Amino acid sequence: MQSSSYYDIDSILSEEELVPCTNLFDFARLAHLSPDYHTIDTTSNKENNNNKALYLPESSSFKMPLWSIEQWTQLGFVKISVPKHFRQTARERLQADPSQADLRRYNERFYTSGLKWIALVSSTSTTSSTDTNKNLSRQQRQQQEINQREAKALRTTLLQTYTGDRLRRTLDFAMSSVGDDVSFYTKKLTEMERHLFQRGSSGATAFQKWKTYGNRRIEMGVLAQRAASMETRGCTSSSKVVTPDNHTNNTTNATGNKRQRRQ
Amino acid sequence: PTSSDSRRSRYKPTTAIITTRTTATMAAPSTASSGGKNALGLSEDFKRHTCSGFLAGDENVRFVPSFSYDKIELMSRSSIGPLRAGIDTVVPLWLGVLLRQRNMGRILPLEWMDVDVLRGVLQHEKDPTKASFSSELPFRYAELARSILAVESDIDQADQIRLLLEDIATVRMDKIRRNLHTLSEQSLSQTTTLPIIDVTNIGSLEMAALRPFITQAFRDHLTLSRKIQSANNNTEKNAGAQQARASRLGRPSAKTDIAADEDENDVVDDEVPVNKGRSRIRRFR
Repeated sequence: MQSSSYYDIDSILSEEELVPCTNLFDFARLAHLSPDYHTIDTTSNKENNNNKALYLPESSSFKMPLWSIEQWTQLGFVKISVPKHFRQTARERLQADPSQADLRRYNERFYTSGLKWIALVSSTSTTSSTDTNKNLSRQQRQQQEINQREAKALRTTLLQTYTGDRLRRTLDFAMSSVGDDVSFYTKKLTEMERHLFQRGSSGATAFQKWKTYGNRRIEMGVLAQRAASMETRGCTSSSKVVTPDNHTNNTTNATGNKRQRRQ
Repeated sequence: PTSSDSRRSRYKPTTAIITTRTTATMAAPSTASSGGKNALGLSEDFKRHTCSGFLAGDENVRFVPSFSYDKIELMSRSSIGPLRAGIDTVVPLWLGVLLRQRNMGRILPLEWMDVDVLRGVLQHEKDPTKASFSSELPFRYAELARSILAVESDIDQADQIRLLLEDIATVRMDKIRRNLHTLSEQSLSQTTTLPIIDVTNIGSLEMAALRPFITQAFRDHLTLSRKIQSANNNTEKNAGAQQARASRLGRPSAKTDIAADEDENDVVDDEVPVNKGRSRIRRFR
């Protein structure tokens, strides 16, 4: 599983998901967030900071990535709603034909982005439940309930899509196509599914390799290879950092890992 | 495996390799190494395959030596009994292969390496009513058969045995794939039921080939079904751990493998968003 560390690239990139939001009051000097910014006249009085034209008026809707509005939702500045491809219609389309849907076209990290959005929704609902009720207008509460319903439905949809037809096809493709080019299949998979496919094909190619070579082929361990290459270079006292990229002399690029094959 | 055998024969007291099945797989590369390839392009999964081939060397075979030798005391197993020329004794496979390569004896064919038995096994496997695999074949039948057939040239009908074994391997793989299909259809899409496949009498090589895919699939399933912001959280994590444990019935060695994945489940704890500390946020204007 992808490590849940702060620096995990996959989770960072999956937070890039654009979420439609509406601001609950005027934002100062943030008019550029609005999609029709270019119609606002900004050539005059640029030095005036209180130029009302640069304000983002209340209840204007715009799209922001998830990582940026996480604090805003908890502070109550914006009101979020469902991104387009997690909505009811898109979900139904997905359920109708899960295996042919090109999930990668919308978002390369479809599943993790969905999970992050669900987490955001549930975190907003818990923070607002600790606020006093009068801070929430009826409209906001309605929106929150809609969000929660959608989040719940999205969870089941994500799980069912992942473990349904796509899992079966990925298994079949991974196990049976050793050494073939199946990029026509993998280019429709999200990152999570691609990782799964990679693991499957790695196991299958290792099996194939064992069938041809048996136990005769033994590969050196990482430390042994590094030690050997350091000896040949004579860099025992150098301050050069030993990175995996340096070792071009002994890269046994085995037959697995379909994505690196260029045919 | 020749290089490992020559290594063993040089030193009388061998390294302590425990032969029970439960710990045998713990000697294999740890399941915590989750990558297919490390930075230098070496495959961890291929290492698992060679490892299981190496560990198959501890299986017992019947051997007819052509020389006599006293009892050999080894650290790993209790002893290899006194060898008398012409009388079959039970020796570990690595020793049998070693001596056979030097023409110092003969490995007797195992009970299941017989054309009739294998034909029966093939029938059993092809039978759609029987869900689990045949119980005739031992855990490491593929490695055993490969080593013995490679070394021993005068077993009758060796080619037929090879073909039958290949057929059996294909049919078993298909069986597991079909099981996975039904699993994916029925129980993986819910988070409450425990997905279980019955794979009693599975072979070690089949397990090694499918292991990375299945563990990754279960991990992702856990991720996707984990994030409920409520008291249901604990039951879901337990369900994940139980499903990992229960998915290999009848194979005690498999439990130790999948048990390593449960550590992932515990690590997941800090990812659950905790909102108690944020109740004191003030509004800014």
